[in-house]
Amino acid sequence: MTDRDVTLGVWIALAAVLVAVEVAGRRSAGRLPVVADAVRAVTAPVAGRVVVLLGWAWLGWHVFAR
Amino acid sequence: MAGSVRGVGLPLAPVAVAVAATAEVVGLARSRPFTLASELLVSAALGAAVAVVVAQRLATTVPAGLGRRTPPAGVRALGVRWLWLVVPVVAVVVWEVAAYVGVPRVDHPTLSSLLDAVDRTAAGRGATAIAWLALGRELVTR
Repeated sequence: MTDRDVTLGVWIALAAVLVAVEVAGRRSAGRLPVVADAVRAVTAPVAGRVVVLLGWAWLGWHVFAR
Repeated sequence: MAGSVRGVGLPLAPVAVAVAATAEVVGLARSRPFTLASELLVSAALGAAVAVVVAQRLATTVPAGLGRRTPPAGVRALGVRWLWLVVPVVAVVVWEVAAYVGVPRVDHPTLSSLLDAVDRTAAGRGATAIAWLALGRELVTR
């Protein structure tokens, strides 16, 4: 097994874990947090919204322009 | 009729937004990084996001776009249960850093390099553009 196989395997495993966490959170009827809860909590203060929007701007610039 | 597409009766603003968004997606899908066109297209989306936030602040006494909101009580009461979400996210960050410091990149792909593979085709860039614009819309209008 090559380093690339290991790296990709961990990425796939992490993606599966994140999906499972989100699904379990949605089926927990509010007992476990989901991504939307995290976004609401982070963006409640003005500074949080600004940081998240700057992150979105950086993401677009990084992916499409640079 | 003012405020509508003549002869069709469609409201002008949503039609204009849909046309602009479609042009943006097609433009981003066809553009290449490190070009003036890609920089202008991304800048246009960022400008639109800023315009929406400013318009929301001007239109309401309680700012919607960037105003402080209180998270729902259920979110605030989660306490230590946040670890359920935080631990896997931290694991992603740790693995991204580990891949980033690893060389060569082909053996240690980061999220960016994986996305580069998707973005090699116009369809892949278009799909990425739709996801990015949808995320931005959600962030500035929720």
